[in-house]
Amino acid sequence: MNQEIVKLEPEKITKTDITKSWIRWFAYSEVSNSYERLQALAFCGAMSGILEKLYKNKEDLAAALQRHLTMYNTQCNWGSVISGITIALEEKAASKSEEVTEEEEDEVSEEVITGIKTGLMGPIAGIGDTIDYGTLRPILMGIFIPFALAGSAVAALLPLIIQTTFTAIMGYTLYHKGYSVGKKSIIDILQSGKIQQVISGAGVVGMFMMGALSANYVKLTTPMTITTSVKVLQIQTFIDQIAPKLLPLVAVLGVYLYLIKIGPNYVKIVGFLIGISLLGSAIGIF
Amino acid sequence: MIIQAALIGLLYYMATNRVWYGFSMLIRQPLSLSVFIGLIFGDMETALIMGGTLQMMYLGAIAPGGNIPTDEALAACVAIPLAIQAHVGPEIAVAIAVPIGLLGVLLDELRRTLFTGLVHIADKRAEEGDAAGIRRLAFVYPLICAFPIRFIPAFLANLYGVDAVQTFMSSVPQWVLQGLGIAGNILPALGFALTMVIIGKRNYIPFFIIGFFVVAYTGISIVGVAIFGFCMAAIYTHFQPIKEQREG
Repeated sequence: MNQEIVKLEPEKITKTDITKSWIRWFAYSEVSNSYERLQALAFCGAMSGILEKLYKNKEDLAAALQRHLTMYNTQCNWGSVISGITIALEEKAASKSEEVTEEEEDEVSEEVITGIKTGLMGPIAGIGDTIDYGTLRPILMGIFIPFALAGSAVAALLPLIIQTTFTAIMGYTLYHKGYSVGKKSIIDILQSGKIQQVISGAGVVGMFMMGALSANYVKLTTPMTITTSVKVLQIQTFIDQIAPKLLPLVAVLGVYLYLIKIGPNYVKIVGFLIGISLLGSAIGIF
Repeated sequence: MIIQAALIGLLYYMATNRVWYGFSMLIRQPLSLSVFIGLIFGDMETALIMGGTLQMMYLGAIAPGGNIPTDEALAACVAIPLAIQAHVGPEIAVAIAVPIGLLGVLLDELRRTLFTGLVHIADKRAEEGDAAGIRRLAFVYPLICAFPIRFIPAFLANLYGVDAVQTFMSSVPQWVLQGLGIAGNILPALGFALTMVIIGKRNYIPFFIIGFFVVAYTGISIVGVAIFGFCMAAIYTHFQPIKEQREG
């Protein structure tokens, strides 16, 4: 990674370049996802146009492409901010030779770029997944599923349309924002109370919606009866007198407890639920 | 029949090739797919009911680290057409969907294993400073490679699946069908519970309970629920101490 003595001038990065890089990122992000390096190829591909403008020297370009082929994985919408920051950092790194002494901040090395990428990708993925797929998507689905069940094809497509639009606007904004604010402010944003408030607010709505949807759509009753000398007692009637829909509530909380105590073993849980349904049906509990 | 099966094969490919982030995460959902399946089979009403029902089970199915827990797109592209043609209820469609969704994970594993090869070719292109070559490896080639992986299974399942389902349905005893129906009604619990885990705040369980019983006691519409939910979130964050820690 030694600095070339003969260095060709890097071109200026324009707003169009960044938009182009964002379009590539959104188009590529998961297409080439592989076990070995996950989104590395997508990230490098999205960055490649920028790198071509910055590194006019073949060796420098090769080195830059190689450093962006290292393992990368984040949530692609919110992760746009990381790409924006990376562009800003690469620009600084490429122009290093011109303003040699000036500020210490210009000390942008390969380690700094990779360090910032890998440091941010995890937390951002956590935030992004929670907001986009833990909250927004379930809420949109929850609102429109009843209309779809009632026969509205438009309602069935609205979650797709709304979330695609939201994600594109968000990703575009974050990509440019990341570039303009550089590395410092992302740490500010992550530490500020604002984002924490958004996350916890989203969590409240999400939890509340999950409760409401569970009550609507998880169905479980028991046909069991107790025969006394006087009359036949319906167990379900008895349960309903305590509180409505107690069995579905137990089912959801039971699965939830399993997930957090034992782990997210999807296959096992599905197998268990089907097994217990068949057993319950056979012996007449459900 | 062949044409419909081929169209479903294409639909499944379109839903899983992951082009354009955001769109790619929603097009693969059973609710979105059901509209297209309804068009292909000329039975929108049934398709929407099946799609909406399947969707609830897959509500919380996100892919941390890119590992999908189940392939809801394959589940939808096989179970919904089968249910439409074999005239079975949505509970049975859910029961058909579950094992198919799990089989779909294998396809995704195959895809991502194959694409490891592309990254190694990309290493060589990077050494040569060939940026355009890397872009092709990131987009064009994986799209081509993914086509047979996605198209063929969905096509075959649709071509031969209906007979298999009908034979199965007429041969299994009543209690099994009833049991599958019960399972279909419980399985959405997994979708909701998974979403709760993703939200990741155990101390928010009371909000879940409130949401549950508001509906259980009053039966208000989901829009009403959303109104209460947002107001409660606003109140909660207003009174929240600024630096609350995020728990795992």
